[in-house]
Amino acid sequence: MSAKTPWWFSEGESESKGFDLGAKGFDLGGLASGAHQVLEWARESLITTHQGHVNPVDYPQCFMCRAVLLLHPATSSEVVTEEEGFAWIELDPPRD
Amino acid sequence: MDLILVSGVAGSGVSTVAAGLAHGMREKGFSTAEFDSAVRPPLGASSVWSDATSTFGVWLKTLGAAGLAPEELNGLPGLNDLVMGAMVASTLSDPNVDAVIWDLGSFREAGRTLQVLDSVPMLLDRLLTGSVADKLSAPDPAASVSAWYRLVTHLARAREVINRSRSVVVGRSSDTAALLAGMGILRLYGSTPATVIVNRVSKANKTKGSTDSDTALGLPVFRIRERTKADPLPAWTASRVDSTVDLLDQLPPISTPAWTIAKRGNGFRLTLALRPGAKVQVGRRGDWLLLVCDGYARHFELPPVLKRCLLEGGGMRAGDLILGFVPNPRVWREQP
Repeated sequence: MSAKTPWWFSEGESESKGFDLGAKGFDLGGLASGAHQVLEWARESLITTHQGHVNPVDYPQCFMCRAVLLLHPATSSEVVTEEEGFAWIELDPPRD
Repeated sequence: MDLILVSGVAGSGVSTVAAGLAHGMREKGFSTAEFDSAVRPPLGASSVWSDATSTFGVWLKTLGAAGLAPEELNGLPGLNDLVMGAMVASTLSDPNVDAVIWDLGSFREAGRTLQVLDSVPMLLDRLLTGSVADKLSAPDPAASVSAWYRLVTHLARAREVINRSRSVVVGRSSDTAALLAGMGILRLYGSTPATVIVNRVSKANKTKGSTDSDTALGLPVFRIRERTKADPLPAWTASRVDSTVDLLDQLPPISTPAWTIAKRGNGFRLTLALRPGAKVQVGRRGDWLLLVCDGYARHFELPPVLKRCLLEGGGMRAGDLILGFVPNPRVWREQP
């Protein structure tokens, strides 16, 4: 572990409670509306139809089933949901 | 005043102080509900129970087990904590209730209750959204999922009210280290310690509860002298916690979370108050951190801005856990 003070222990700049500092001031309304329409279309035409497809191998015409087969080997008997990994973080030694 | 958790060093008179606080608040005209973790709540009367049986009944049938009566599960570890947590949250939503006093017992008991209420909603949520739920064979899947969702909501609400609660910690004159450790546990789960009551102070010291500034504890300290056998309870204690009730009444409601975010150059610094000298571990799974403080674990959902960041490092400084985050270039193309 380096003796140099890491940046997260440095002082300065403003503090806030519970605000999303990543939020920007410009208007994304139009873009969001367009994206929403695309998502609605995708949900209706792809996901809703795909919901009843138990084994993706049986539905080669379904876009979602083809995507699932691309991500998982065709020999796999069932679709396995990918787990988000857990990782411990290495912490610096305590400071006063 | 909302929710006030009372906990302390085992044997220092936590329940007496909690009962005295509730009594004192009623004396001052506050409509006050009182919960005691040591008293088993009526399971069958709880909406948590009906949702739990609707949810787990399906699993029990799948496993070939017969339905269970509420009484058969009495004493199941953690169940009492879950039901009581949900009842506290439900009581707080009653507009006729000014304050809820929850006697959590000793710090160890409080840590266990708060940990159960923190981890079980997370576990249930993961089961509900995980691949196991897809394989669930239920006569009415929609009803099962609905009951499951209600159960998670009950428990998540309990966790939320704890996050906005204040706490009163109780100990004796020689318990400074244990009080600091206990305050760390309460802070880990989002409760903000408001005051310390030093109980059973010998007559040679102070006779009536009075305010002191105690630099070691960093909070207002009220002292209650040792009770003689002639003194009645809890009215006697109530008269000694008068100043504590006034202090709690004057404190502003907690509207902001107990953590802070600060911008630091290209990154962000997340600060959570715990206690000096705490043994801390931090892990991350997606949008959640696992914070372990002195052996107690809390699942902490990251604020929105930090969900899109990588956790670069961190450590403890003067009782605060400080974590450094930098934008994840995979999900945040624009620099903040």
